[in-house]
Amino acid sequence: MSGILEFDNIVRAYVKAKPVLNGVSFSVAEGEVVGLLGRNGTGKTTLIQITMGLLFPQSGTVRVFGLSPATDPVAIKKRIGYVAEDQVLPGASSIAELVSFHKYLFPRWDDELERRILDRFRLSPKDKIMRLSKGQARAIALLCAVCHRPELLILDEPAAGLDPAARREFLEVAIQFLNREGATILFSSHYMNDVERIGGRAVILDEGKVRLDSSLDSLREDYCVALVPIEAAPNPETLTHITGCLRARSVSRDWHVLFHGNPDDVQKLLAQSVGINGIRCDRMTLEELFVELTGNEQAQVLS
Amino acid sequence: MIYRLIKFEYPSWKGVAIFYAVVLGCLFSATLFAHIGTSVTVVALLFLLGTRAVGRNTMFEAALPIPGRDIFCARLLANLLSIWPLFLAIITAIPFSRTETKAQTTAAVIEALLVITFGMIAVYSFRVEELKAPRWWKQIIGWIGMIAVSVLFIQIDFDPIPLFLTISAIGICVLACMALFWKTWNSTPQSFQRGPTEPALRDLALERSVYPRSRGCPSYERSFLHK
Repeated sequence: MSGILEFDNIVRAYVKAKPVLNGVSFSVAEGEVVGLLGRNGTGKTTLIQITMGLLFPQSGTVRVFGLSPATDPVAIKKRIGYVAEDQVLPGASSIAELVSFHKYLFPRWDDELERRILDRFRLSPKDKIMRLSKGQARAIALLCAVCHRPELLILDEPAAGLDPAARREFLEVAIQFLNREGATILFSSHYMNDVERIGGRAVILDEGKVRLDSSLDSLREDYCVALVPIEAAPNPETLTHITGCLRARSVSRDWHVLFHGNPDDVQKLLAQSVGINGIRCDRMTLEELFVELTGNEQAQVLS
Repeated sequence: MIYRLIKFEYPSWKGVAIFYAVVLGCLFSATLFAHIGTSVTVVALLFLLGTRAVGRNTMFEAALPIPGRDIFCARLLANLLSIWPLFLAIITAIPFSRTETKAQTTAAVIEALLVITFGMIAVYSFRVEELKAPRWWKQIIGWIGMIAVSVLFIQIDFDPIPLFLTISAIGICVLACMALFWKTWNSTPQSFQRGPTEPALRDLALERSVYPRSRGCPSYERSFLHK
């Protein structure tokens, strides 16, 4: 592995015998934009906090800029911009005081970028943090994260709880930053549109493991879902044994079978295996793929 | 760094000054009428009921490139600043008060201050690597503090004990504070942890997680906690 961020076989549990992360491995190269996806409780925030040195893994290794967050957390945090899911800023301070504090911590502070973000969100340095709306507070958190021009920007559910307009504005600032600096970005989100908008690669976590790690282009092109009537294949194992099958789950009277492959080829494979010609087989949006991959409990998961 | 962190604790110096002026005025008046024990109790209760007594570190500080020791010192100093000036005001007022046992009373107030200081450090001393102290630990310190203050109230206002005993207690408190501070300082990590480093055992009765209760006693865990 080589990259700015490297996770190798990370295991982290909050309750014994129930690991949230159970052998997560992937790496992020310099300049990459990676969207971390997963259902609630799949360990996205845990993984991000491990990167920040705010949690130690119980096994496995993490390297950030080649350093370990367990032994060099301060050096690592100096090079990272971080917006937490539940970011709480000191409410009694003004924006100016908060910015002054960050300038002291980060000598590379970009005053011009700070001014542009403040203008963009119509904020005054004299405003008290406690009087800001949720969207404005997130904007200030983003300002603090990007204005010191970090090499790695980590956004944990950056737009959670924001209205669509505020979300869009927030993302635009992140995209501008990305274009300008070419920084590496790791962000977690439940909004697939957001991931498609700024992400170059998606890592989907499910049941403590990396279920899928691929570029967004590849996700759109290389995966498809086949709708097989349950009567045609009462036993899902006949489907899950087909080459390229990732998962089959029952939805109403069909099996939704997720394949890694081109729809035409998958149709041929299904015709050979199940004996039915013309089975519907479609490419998916990222959201559809996410649902097929991590969807409901009736699904039959291929290990 | 420590000064800047404290400034975040007290962003409005004007507000802090007004608060202290009012509280100091009340305490000074109460002390002049020989109700020193009452004054100490009021101050201690204000402290215990306030969030400062149980506050430790915040995510805001922990996520920034600030060494854990700086955060620890800044928060402890901020906490001390919330209580020491009030006690010093009481001590300053004692020579003008109507109490007949001024020396004993002064020593007892100093003792009370040191007990509370010890409690403040104790909040940090347990599971130092974690961002927040366990709730039950904060409750224990709070209750012990309440009992200690009540005992001191009786001692100061009604039955002052001999001076040499109080001075001995002060010496013990000073040593205890220094030892606990040293221990906590040495075990403070570079970065605080958001959660416990070890996974919790599941509480089967309540279906909620609890902290490990018997580190180093696996047979107990196997027998009673269905490990």
